Amino acid sequence: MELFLQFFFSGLTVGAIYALIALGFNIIYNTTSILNLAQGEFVVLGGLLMWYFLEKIHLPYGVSIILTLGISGLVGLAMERLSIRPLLKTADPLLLILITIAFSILLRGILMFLFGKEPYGYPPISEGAPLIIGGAIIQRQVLWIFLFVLFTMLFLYIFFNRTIFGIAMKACAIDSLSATLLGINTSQMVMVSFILSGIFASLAGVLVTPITFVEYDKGPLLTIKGFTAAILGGLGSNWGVMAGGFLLGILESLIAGYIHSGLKDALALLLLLSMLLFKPAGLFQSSEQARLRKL
Amino acid sequence: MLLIKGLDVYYGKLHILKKVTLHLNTGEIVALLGANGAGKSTLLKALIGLVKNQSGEILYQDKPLHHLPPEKRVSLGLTLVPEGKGIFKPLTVEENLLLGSYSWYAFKKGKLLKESLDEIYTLFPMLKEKRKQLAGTLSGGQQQILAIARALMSKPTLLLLDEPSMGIAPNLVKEIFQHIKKLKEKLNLSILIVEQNAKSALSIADRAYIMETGKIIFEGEATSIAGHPEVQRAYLGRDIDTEVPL
Repeated sequence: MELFLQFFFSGLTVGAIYALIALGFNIIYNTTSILNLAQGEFVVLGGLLMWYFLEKIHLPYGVSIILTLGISGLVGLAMERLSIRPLLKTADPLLLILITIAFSILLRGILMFLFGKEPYGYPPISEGAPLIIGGAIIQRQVLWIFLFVLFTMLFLYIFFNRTIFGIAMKACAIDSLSATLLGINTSQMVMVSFILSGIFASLAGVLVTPITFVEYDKGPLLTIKGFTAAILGGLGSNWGVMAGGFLLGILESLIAGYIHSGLKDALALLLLLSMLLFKPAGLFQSSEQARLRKL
Repeated sequence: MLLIKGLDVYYGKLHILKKVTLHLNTGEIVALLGANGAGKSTLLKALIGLVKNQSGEILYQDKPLHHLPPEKRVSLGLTLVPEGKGIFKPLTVEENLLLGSYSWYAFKKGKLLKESLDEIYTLFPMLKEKRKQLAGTLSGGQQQILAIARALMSKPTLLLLDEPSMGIAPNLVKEIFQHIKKLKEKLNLSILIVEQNAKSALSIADRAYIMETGKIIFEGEATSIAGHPEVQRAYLGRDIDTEVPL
């Protein structure tokens, strides 16, 4: 039982990270119907920038987080302006997805150039002995991760249900033509979705680096994991993809713990393939719903 | 208030609107009639800015419109209720209405927003009752009313209606048209209405235009059009020559 709890909690931790990445996928998918396959690179960007501010120029933790998230948002903005916006109205979605891959390669190259190939880490948000719940050992950073993910969910709920800007973003996802007719500037919404998605992915990097370390080439695997989570939960629904993230994290951790740790990454790919083959709308929604109900 | 002069619109190489000239005075309801594919909806799309490839002049309150994107035109007071209503079915009725105010909403205007909502709810008590429901659960007629109400939330001066009777039970069509007429009087609107259901549209319109294959072929008072035998035969689907007297 103790062992199970241990695996469960570590699964939740990884799951929280996948949830944030999947969320980024979903927000962009909803406004543009494309997948941003540079998500993993934004996670790495978050970790590396955080290291730079914290360890290299010794800024306080809070300031570092804010700066990191801000810069990542700007990188998301730059990505949208330079590579997506000029083509969004005319190009095939597939072409745009390939462009995001190109952008991920570019970003990875820049990160390697700036930071080199070694792994980086920095201390967790609060130091101290790990907590023990039901016999399972939980690092304090894990609690911070949960707290931040909870905040993110709260923010999403308020943003998409209580602010007119968020509701307008939903409207664009449902029917961008009708949204245009109401005076909603749809390309502005696309821009905001890239900024938000960059921020969420980078937050994942900021939070997870004290536990797992980060190096420049961790991005692609994280992209695949986040994408699997998004498919598992069903693209289109923010809550669905977050649930998918946690589910994937827990399954991975259980498989790695009880069977073999080498199977961890294989599991994600297997799940991804079988979901795409048998239930592409995700676990929590029918294909009808997927078409009609986004967010 | 609206003046269209020699408007040409192309879809690729297809010449859809050919030198269309049309005007609308303040406080008027003008009906635009014609068969399927005559270019009526295209004209509305050109007015709101959804059609790129156009030449000719569109003056709205003496300001040229053709270089403005749709969102600017909406802030100027034009609003289009599209064919098929275009409401956001997964959102609630109230969220749909809120989005209508997007063109003028700002953080400090919360009070004005509340007043506008109250105003709409007084006009359409049905919407108030159902404000927490998803818009997709409304009936066709109610959805059309929601679409019009949402358009009114943008505080338009010129309302463009595309086929408001489409997909609505025939006994409700009359009610919708009476609503439209009442709104015009209450809110001092000007309305350009595109319809295939010519009879209903003419019953509330002041003037009417008839389009055929991208051209305006007839223009006149609504009453005179309704009684014009040639027009009736060709465009209103009633062949009076062969009609057997009862």
